[in-house]
Amino acid sequence: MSYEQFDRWRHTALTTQPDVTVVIPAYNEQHRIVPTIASIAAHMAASGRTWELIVADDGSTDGTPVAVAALGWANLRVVTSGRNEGKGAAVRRGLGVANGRAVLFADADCSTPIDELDPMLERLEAGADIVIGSRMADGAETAHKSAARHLFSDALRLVVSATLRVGVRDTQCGFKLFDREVAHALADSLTIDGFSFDLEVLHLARRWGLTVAEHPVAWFDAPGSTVDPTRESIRFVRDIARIRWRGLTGVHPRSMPEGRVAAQPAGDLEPMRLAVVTPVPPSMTTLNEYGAHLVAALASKPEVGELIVLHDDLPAGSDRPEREEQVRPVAAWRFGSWTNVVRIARALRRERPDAVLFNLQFATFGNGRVAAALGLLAPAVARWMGIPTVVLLHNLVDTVDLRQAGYARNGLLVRMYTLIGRSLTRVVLAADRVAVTIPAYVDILRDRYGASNVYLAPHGVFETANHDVSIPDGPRQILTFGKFGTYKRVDTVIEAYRLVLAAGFSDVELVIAGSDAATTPGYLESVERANDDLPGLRFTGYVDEDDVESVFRSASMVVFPYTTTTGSSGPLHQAGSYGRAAVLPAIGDLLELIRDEGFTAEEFDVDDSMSMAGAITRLLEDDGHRDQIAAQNAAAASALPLTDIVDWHLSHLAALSTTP
Amino acid sequence: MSITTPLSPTLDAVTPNAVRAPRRFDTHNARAVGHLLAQQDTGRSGQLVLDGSDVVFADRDAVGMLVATGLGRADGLRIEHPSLALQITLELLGHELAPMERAA
Repeated sequence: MSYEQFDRWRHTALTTQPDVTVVIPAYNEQHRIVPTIASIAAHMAASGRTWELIVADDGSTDGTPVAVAALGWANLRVVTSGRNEGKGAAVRRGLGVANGRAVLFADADCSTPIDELDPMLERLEAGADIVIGSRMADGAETAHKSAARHLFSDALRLVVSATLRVGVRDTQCGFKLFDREVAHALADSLTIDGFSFDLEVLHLARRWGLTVAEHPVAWFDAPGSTVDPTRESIRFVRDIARIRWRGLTGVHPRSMPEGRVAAQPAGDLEPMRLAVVTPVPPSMTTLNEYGAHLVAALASKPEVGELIVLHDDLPAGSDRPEREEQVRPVAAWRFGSWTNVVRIARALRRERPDAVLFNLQFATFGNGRVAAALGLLAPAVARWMGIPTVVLLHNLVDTVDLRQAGYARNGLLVRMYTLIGRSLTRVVLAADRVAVTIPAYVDILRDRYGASNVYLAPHGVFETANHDVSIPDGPRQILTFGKFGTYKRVDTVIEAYRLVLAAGFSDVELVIAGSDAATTPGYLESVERANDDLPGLRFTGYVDEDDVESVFRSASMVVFPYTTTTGSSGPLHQAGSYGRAAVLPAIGDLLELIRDEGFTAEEFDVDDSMSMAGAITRLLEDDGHRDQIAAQNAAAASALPLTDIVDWHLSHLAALSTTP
Repeated sequence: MSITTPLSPTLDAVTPNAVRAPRRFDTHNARAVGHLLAQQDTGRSGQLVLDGSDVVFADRDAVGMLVATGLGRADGLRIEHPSLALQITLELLGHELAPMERAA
């Protein structure tokens, strides 16, 4: 019976809130984590509880996230930053996306057997906020613990007891159980990235007046630890000082942050009437496709009772977005208009949604500076009207090369627009909360703008990831995809393609899929005319949503001829979704995005056709290398479906809409 | 602090002559299990028998020992009463149990 339960669990996604989320932080655990997952899965299947598993990868370099994602289980998620930040950061990431009523974090080596969970759950249900596994409590058992490890842990315990009041005997056991609301509050408040995050957990629990129960556990030392005791000891002492300092200076909240209403069972909440301000196809405005997927993902959630899509006026004669059971499209603003803030305010006053989500980048409301800037006042106005407001902001002026992106042509204008852009950023930050897609953006908004209402919500992928990295027979297609003419220019990729042909590759084609950017009409047509002699070069024009998959699946790799970025790259996520290798420019925040989200790519120097040709050639010459990149991207894509990201937005929106 | 959780393999009382794998079957006791299996009287069948009903965790070293001992060979090693944890571990590590073993 249990095997059937396990089999059903791994093949069928949960539709209700799970009883338990198990979070396993992992750094280079490919050798140890699979048996641990098996042990946990067996126990949970037999327990009859509904549960989900989250592996919080900490930038492993041994393929751990790929190996785990390759299991393909319906209720297993891999969350990763792509960087080795520390165990605390990984646990924090896992706790933040946990859906279970109770959230367990358990080490990847299964040093504490999973059956210790059952009595700990009983104590949680009896009223504890946190139940920690303890190797020091009466009744605990330890085995195979080396003398050096004994000495190490005893010394740390002495240091902790002398410097930090946490009220428990064993702070470091990697088996702790949280009430979900507490887990989310901790995810929002913890600051220590390394191993001493446990101390910060207990320090905050004491500060917030939470009930912490110690439960004696069995503990078995498992060989293969990736911890460096010397380095961690130094960090440990340093982190204790940080924790004390953050307590004194008010960085740590004095009381537990409230408002993660999703902490309540989803079924207990009234469905929301949610408005989304976004462009949607057939509008050609940037973010239109993202907007369509965002709307679909939101509409699929039981927390959303009605979704009012406040979209831009569509081209004359185009099909209107269809009204569905709970999705009501309303043309509420016009691209390029100076009065969008008034139009949106009127629509919001008429609709009175419980909350509103803006899907924005800086040019969403117009190419003209005035129209774009005035439109960005809309979130602040919405909040002023008393409507809980979240902005999903896809780019920051601080990271955009305004010259390359075509917004300014000389230094004076660059400085002026940067100043204006920063002022507008402050205006956008007047929303209740602002979500950004890259960790570096969170840092910028917190450090440069002093913002405290920012959260990270990765871009997410639209499609179900396809792990098949095989490429079709016939000429190998080199694909580039997007809206071209500004900072995405195909001249370099065409030049690189000529170099590839000159190097003797005859079985290749270059496919340029997409259309002109709104500010550069006629660009692709002129490029096509200038290169009509080039064999194997093909322009597809605008790719309809239904054809996107076949365009990507026909390619052997996807090249991104960007000279700067203005935020996350939708095509990069699509390349991952369709199991395709990527060739990317070495641009700071783009590479950061890749690493943060677990993607990888063959890199080239920006705007350098020779370097780009070299990167393409490396993938053409080595199928194994190409497939390796494609497989990692597919795994990264499967870890970040937009439907999961949307849960994160909804938890913030729900929290705002129920906070008096 | 003493340990009361059974960690060592024992000769099994339920399945005659079978070696009973420990509850936590890992690198610390895999060799001991292998040693007991090597001493097992296989009788006419020539097949070694391991009782896996207690196993709640088996690491790669334990599975490696089982594979080296002859898991999957007709006259190699038979696992009686594999626990769900052992079944899933073997499956995830690419070692299918024979249908009869799974059914057991």
